Amino acid sequence: MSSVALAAHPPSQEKEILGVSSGKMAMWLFLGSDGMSFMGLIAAYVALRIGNWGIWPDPTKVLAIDLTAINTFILICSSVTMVKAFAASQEGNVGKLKQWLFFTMLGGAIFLGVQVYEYSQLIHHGVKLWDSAGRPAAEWLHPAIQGHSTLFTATFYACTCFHGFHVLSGVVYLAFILIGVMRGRWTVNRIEIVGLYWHFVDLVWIVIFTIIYLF
Amino acid sequence: MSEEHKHTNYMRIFWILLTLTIVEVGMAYTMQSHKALLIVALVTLAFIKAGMVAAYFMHLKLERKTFIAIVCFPLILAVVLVIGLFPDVGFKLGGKHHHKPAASQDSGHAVEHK
Repeated sequence: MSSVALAAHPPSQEKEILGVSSGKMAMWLFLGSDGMSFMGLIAAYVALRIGNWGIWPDPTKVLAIDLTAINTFILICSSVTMVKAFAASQEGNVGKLKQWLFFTMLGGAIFLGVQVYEYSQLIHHGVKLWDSAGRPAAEWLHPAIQGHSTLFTATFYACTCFHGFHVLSGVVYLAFILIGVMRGRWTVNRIEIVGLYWHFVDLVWIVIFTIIYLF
Repeated sequence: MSEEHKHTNYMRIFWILLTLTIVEVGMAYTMQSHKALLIVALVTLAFIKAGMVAAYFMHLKLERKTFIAIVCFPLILAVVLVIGLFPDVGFKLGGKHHHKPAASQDSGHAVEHK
């Protein structure tokens, strides 16, 4: 009898703490600590910005807000495809699950592509920390940063790169889950956990986008 | 049980998030001359959006209260972290007070020097 019960509910899914599976609890605890890592970078940005109030460059004049607004839209869309994937997993619809997981990965990949394009444009226009040719800053630094604090550039790349790396990790994580689904090795719990990570990356971007890009 | 209800919510949350994002970008373009108001409005909107993602997409709203408390605790620490950095950097706006022994004008500096 017990072997039948075990087959229906693998032991790893059975353990529950505070009403959630141990895997889900672990992901939430990771997200809590990861959120503090992000908050450390954001806090540094905010504190340095306030400390250099008069000489901080206007981000709206340096950064491409339209482009990143589209990126924000893409990331929110990929969050929706992720909840669709979770819903499909609850219904046991493997076809739809694969499809929505793929679209979520695609959203993340497009986000990264746009971010790389954004970086290349920014570097091209002189939003960088040094010049490889060794020219004086007046020749290559973005006009809106001339005479302002270059801490903006450093903190901007630190925050957005750290987030971009999370998106990259998320796409890889989703790829592993998708391969698992294709091989028939998946559980609703696993889909929910990867979903938690993905939504967290979206959540952090909402905060970063507002604090770094918009004012 | 409440699956159908949850499904309909997802798209509604998406439209709300999208609308708020458009509002944010619109404000960033039109309100740069009212910096203080802009910052308060944008940070409030960002927290509402982040809260909605956590509550609905991450299903935090459906979890137990104790669990929600555990998850929210790092958030409180994070806010403390930001506020904790303010005396170090933020209050230097008026100039360099560091070598004036007890001449600080506001209580913030008095605390910092003790």
